[in-house]
Amino acid sequence: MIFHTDFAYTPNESEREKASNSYLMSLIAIIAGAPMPFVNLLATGIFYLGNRKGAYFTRWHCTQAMLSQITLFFINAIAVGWTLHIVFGDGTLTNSYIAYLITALIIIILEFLMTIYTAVATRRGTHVEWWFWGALTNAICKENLS
Amino acid sequence: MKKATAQLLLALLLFFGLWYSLSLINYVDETTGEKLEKETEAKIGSLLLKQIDLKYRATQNDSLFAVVDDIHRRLCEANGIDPETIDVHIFNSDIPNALALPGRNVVFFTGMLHHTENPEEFAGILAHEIAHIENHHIRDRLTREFGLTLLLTISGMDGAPEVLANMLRMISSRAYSREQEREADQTAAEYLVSAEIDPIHLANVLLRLSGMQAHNDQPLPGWISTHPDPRDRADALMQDHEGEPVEIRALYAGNWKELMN
Repeated sequence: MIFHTDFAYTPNESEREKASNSYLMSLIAIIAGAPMPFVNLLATGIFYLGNRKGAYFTRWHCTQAMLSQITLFFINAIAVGWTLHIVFGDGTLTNSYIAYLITALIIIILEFLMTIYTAVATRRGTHVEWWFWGALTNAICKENLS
Repeated sequence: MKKATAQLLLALLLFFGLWYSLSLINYVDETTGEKLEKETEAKIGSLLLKQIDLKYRATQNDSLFAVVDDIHRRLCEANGIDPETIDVHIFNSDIPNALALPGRNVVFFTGMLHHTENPEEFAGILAHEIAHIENHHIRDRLTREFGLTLLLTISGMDGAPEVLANMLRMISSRAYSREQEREADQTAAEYLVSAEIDPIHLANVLLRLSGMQAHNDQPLPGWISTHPDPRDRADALMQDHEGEPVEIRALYAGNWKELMN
């Protein structure tokens, strides 16, 4: 799920701090946004916009953090929507619904642990790429802004 | 990008695989869910009956009740329904209405019985209300209107008279959709045929009650006024069963009208 790779250059102290903060931002937002699926996406989205013209290392990690939050947003939104449909609508409690909640919870916990690990690692200057999100970030986040 | 796509596909495969595998575990015991629904319905039904009981007196006409019980049993037994699971209540009131309540209860007001010409017409109305119960129309409507949470809350306490009064008003007026009424008519006709009662009597009572307003300028009886166009429904019933041989067995040998008094 997590790969340590060499980055194009050695990031300086400020870049490392900002990159690490992008994960911390999503970490706080996960806690606040558990019942409201848009909060975590909003927090990382704002942080990404603030750093989109920053150094490559910072940009790269802001992008990875935001992309992972977009995925979580959809997973959480389905869980919340399905729950509301059962509580207030005519939906019924099914095995599929409970299985979905467990699956979503497993992903959220994994993402939470990966976020903590990556926040610490990037603060030390270690470049960490996540499964799928790392590859996607490499495809869309380029070193030169021009 | 190829790497990202391959990893995405594998991630999706893992996600759906995990979800599917977990959904194979039986977390929700269906009988538990059904039991909860039945208990909730039964509690709400008894609370609503209490509300009716506060306003109207239950009928003391034992001979009428014996005939009604016979008809109820014949309808249920002919259709594989345990008659003990459905309670028929008769209240003294001029209100020309009959309604199915949650918890498998059917309420008739004597005003409705006075509008029937014979026991077969009564059987037609009873079959229609039983059909609403058996097709879970009352549960669907209540859940849609009030939400499962409120129903569970109300069933968990003995109060909330305002909500109950509102619920009763809804049940006795605009309870069902056009489709549900049509479905209840069709099911009722099947019940009647199985019980060797001609379904034409249900069409007759619909037509006669709807015709009362046209000829005598009287207000429509509640049971009819709250249902979609009764003439259309009567026509549909007659078309559905036109030419269909129905083995008929009399319901009651005595005088139905006298029984009312």
